[in-house]
Amino acid sequence: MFPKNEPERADTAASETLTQAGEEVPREQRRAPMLRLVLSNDVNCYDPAAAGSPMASTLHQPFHRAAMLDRAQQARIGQMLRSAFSDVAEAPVPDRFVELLEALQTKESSRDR
Amino acid sequence: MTVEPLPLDRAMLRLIPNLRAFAVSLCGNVERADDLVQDTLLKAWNHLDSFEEGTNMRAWLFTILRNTYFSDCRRRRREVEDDGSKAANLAVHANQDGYVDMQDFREALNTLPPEQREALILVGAAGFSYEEAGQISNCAVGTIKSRVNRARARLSEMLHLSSEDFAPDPQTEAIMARAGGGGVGRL
Repeated sequence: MFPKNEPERADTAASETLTQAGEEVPREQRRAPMLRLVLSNDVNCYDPAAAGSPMASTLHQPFHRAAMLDRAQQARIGQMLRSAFSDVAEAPVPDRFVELLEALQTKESSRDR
Repeated sequence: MTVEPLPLDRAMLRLIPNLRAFAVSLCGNVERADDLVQDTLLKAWNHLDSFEEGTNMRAWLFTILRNTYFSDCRRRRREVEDDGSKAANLAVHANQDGYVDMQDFREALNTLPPEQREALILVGAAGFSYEEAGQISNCAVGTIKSRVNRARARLSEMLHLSSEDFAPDPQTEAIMARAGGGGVGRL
């Protein structure tokens, strides 16, 4: 059995995490919610707007932060993609293509006649 | 006001820079890209009857180009793995990005599976919608989305685009300062 003081040490925040998980946690992981709570502070996910609300409501914040980074990465990749694309798109058209289209057009109009 | 449609050859000529950019990004090799563009123009010209006037000629030409590229790849599978060095050379004059230079980026792009690369270029560089990209690649919108996501994820991994590369905005900084008041280190 658990030591009697365990649930008290885990305090309300931890029990909320347990409730949130919605399932029986194996004994050896009983203290994990505590750890998770500390971690969620470590990544500076604390939302001042939610200051008055129960701590459980900020537990999803790391995901928000991940999404934020993800957008920054996407913006970065998008920027490089467009840059790689426009390098070529802004280069002059090689003569071979101009000549090719002229030849095709000439062939077409001589066929029309 | 009505706009007189361009003669087809003029319209095609105007789209060549875009086609070349797509082809280079797709195959990572300028010479092969120009061969692809040439094949595309010839096929387009010979199948002008399959082009509906008033529809998106750019999407039509992109479709022909990518079909040519993928059937080429199937025929000469060994050449799919281009090293991209020629494309990289072409990019030397490009504006230097702060963190990742364009050559590294092109090399990373070239290591993606061709379908993922294609989806990423169509949506991320050529400015097509997911729907249009799906029509060009002849696949479902969901497939395009998942290819784009996987391509982005792999690129950020390859280019080591991690949180360290992004300075937090002032608001985040303020929150971090407050939350870090208790001596909690930044991750």
